[in-house]
Amino acid sequence: MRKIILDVDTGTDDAIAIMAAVRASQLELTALCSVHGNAAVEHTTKNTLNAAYAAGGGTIPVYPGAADPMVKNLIPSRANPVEEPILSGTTEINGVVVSINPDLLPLKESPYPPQEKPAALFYVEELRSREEKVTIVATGAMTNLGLALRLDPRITEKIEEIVIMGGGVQKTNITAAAEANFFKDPEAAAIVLDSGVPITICTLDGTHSCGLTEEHEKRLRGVGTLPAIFTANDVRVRRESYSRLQPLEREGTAPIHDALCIAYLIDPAVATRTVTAACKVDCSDGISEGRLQVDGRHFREGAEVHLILEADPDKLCDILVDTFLEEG
Amino acid sequence: MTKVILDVDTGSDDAVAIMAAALSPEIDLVGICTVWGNQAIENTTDNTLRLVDAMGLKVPVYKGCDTAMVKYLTHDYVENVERPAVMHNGKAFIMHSEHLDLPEAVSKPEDVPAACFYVDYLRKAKEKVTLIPVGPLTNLGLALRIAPDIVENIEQIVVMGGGSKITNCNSWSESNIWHDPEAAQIVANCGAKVVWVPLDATHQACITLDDCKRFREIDTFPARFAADQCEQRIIVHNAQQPLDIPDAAAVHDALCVAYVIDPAVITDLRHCHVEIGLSGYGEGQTIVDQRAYPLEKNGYFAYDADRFKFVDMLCDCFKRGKK
Repeated sequence: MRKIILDVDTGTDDAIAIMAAVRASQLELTALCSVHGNAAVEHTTKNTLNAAYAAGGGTIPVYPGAADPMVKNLIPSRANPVEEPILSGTTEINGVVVSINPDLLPLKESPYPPQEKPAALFYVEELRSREEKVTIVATGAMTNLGLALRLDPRITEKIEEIVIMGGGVQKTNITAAAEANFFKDPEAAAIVLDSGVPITICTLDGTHSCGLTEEHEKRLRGVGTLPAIFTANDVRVRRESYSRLQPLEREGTAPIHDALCIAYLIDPAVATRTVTAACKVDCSDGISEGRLQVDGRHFREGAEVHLILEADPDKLCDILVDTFLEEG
Repeated sequence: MTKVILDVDTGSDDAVAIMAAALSPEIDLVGICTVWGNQAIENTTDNTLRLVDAMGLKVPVYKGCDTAMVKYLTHDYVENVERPAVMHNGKAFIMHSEHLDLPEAVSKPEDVPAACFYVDYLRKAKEKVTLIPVGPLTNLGLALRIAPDIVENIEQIVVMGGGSKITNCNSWSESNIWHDPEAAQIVANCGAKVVWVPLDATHQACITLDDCKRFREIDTFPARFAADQCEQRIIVHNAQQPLDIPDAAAVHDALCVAYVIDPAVITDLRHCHVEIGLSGYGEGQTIVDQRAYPLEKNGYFAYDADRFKFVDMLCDCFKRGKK
């Protein structure tokens, strides 16, 4: 069983990734770290606890992470929050205002508290002391990992792979140039990409290509378990929100970005088009701040990174259905 | 006794600071963090351990960061120009030797990175702790990002760094701040009491060749070793940054320790707004808001110091050292 640590800014799609990671028999979720992003870290921590609990993983330790990016908000022009009508995904269904990233997710409250140890310290202590390597899945801003890699660069020796949801090659969301997770802490993303650890990125191009449909929503709802129904509900809200705010090429589909990372670890065949490319992250205070820069030249510069550019939505749905079939 | 954590890039003046802190009856030195800066992290840690062993101290040493939080991720910084060594009596001198002239260290650093130590120690601290960072502020910047709540247990942060009218690294900045401006800006606005001991004060608190003679007359190990460090610094100062008083050197880091022992050594301390330049020809600059209606006052900035009192205080410390 592949051992993983999830680093999340829960968020509905993070919650689905968490539930899938808890339920998947192919994966052993050893710990969760929270981070600022879709909401303030106090909320993402709580949502993380509740999502793990909902899937039967309430006792998996949750380490609260960074409240702020490493340095971005020190510079006034970079600190200003970008208007996020797209990312909050707020829309109306049958007269009810819903959002893909509410502060608190509609989940039962977990009776388990978060750990006291901050996420970055957990990484250092855990990775220094463990015998075998672990895979880290980061589906939010990578502040915790950036800090941990600065605290002790040698922790890379114990990291099998870092699977990231973030960045976009042709597709972007928070700005014309950048995807939100990279944009929210570009320096941390740059440190992670340059760390020397094997890296796979589920890009926005990949997640947008495997948006789920109404048909998928029905299949998931039919499974009937709590994680499956939560996912079906999110597909419903996302389909509505995306069709109004950022319509995808395949009309009426909804990307469940973070879940693709877990699906990929369960079965890499879900990714149908991948490339290895030299990548950098723009850390400057300008219009391309946070952009994933992919070097297409023959003599390329940057960290060699595995990029997922397309994925199979039916396969993604199959994996989620299989994973959520049993209540746990 | 004030509980103190030192954060050093040892370093000639760091060495004097460590000895003063270790020997002062006012200070309970609970830990020493190291950081890259004057030299690479391997050297600054090794030098710190050499001195700890030479002094026979039982203080844990925590190895810290080997580079800035983010500064070197881009090429968007002005290169620091290394100054050539100063030739004196046929020998080459630089401000901070790669290796302190002491026997090799037997002690090892603790198995916990410096920033982790800050978080662990400060969260558990029963009384407030004074921090004296005298190198780049990387360890503290990281710790404050990981656990901003640690400020609750910080009595004050006495920083050696910056300069309002005087600079050394380039025309606008002092070395410690220039090395990691983002970390310095995090410290400036962390909410704890921050006292900046910049070049404006440390150049006033200079130590002369006559003062070195006084150290040598004390004839303890720390007094002799401090004299060695100061004399080396005077040679380099004379050639590269002569002070108002001839044959004198600033011993920056030790002034922070002296301030914690007795604040009266700083004779002009102003409550003001301090922030750090983060880009271009202002990167690493300590900007003090001098306007009639300044931004919110977030720190204290030292403009002057009493050099006679400073030397007396160091002598008092060194007298307590072993022969």
